[in-house]
Amino acid sequence: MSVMVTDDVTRYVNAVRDVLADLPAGQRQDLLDDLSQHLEEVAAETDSPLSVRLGPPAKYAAELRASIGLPPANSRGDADVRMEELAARVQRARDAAMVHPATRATLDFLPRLRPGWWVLRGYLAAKVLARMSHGGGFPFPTLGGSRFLGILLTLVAVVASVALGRRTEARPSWRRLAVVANILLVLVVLAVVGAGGFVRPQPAYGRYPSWSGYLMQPDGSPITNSTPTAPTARR
Amino acid sequence: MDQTLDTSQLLKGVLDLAVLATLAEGDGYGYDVVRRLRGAGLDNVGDASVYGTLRRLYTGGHLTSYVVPSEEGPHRKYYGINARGRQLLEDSTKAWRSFAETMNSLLRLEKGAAA
Repeated sequence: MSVMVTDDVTRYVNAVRDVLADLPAGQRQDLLDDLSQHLEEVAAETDSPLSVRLGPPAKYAAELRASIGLPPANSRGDADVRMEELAARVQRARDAAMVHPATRATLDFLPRLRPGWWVLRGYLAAKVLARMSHGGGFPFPTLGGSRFLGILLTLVAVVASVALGRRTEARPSWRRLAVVANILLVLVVLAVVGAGGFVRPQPAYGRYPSWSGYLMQPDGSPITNSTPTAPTARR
Repeated sequence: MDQTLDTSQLLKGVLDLAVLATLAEGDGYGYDVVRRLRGAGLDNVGDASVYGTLRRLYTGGHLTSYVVPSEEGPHRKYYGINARGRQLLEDSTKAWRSFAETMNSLLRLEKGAAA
């Protein structure tokens, strides 16, 4: 067999191999071995090159793939196709949700909540700051033991938050920063709640004077000459 | 564009049947089957299509295959029809007959008359 014929056959076999890349290797190899032998016979029939008899290798390969019963080959792998299908399904679900009247009503209402969020954000920020400096308390945090400072801090934080909110509305370029800040705040709040809450736990006996060890007479002076007996009716 | 019916399109639907019928007459290897089909009048039949159909029928369990060693030339892989293939041939022939009769009457051709 001439070298030219073998080269010719190889071109077709390679084209078919490329187009059947998604078949299991064993099955594919089986088919290809068979094919080269088959094509050598075709080539041996006449002197004209295979391309005259069979058309271009790519076309031959595509026709062969189709007659095996496979869908047309593409360069994407199965995993890519599955990802695309998943993405398409997600998109369809999103579109369906967006069209739903309940979704639309909720989305239309949300912008009205925004100023409320700003206030809440300021309040939460103040509480976080107070907590970090070992303050706490409800509803307003105390700062350094002072309720007044705590209330002041809260007011400042709320005003700042509202100002930030209004600025962000006017300048969309700030939006990304605001979103990041919001997320951070929410995360910190969750962390604080997880660590025990915003109110610093008070010791259980803190409000009561410590037991000094003496009973007291009505005027406050200690009784030093008594031994414990059963309680009497005297007050 | 050619206005007449593209017979290669028609053939795609019935190539399985044609290949099975050919092999029912006798085992053959790939190129042999192509030649016989062309000799029977299907000169448009594509080599790739026949090869692919043979492979598909084989993996579908409708054909047997064996290699015949040869001293002079290459070892050839022969295909033959098996019991399952014969069943498929019989069912497909019935389906074809029924379809052809329907088309003939639709086209107001007499049964059995040439188109």
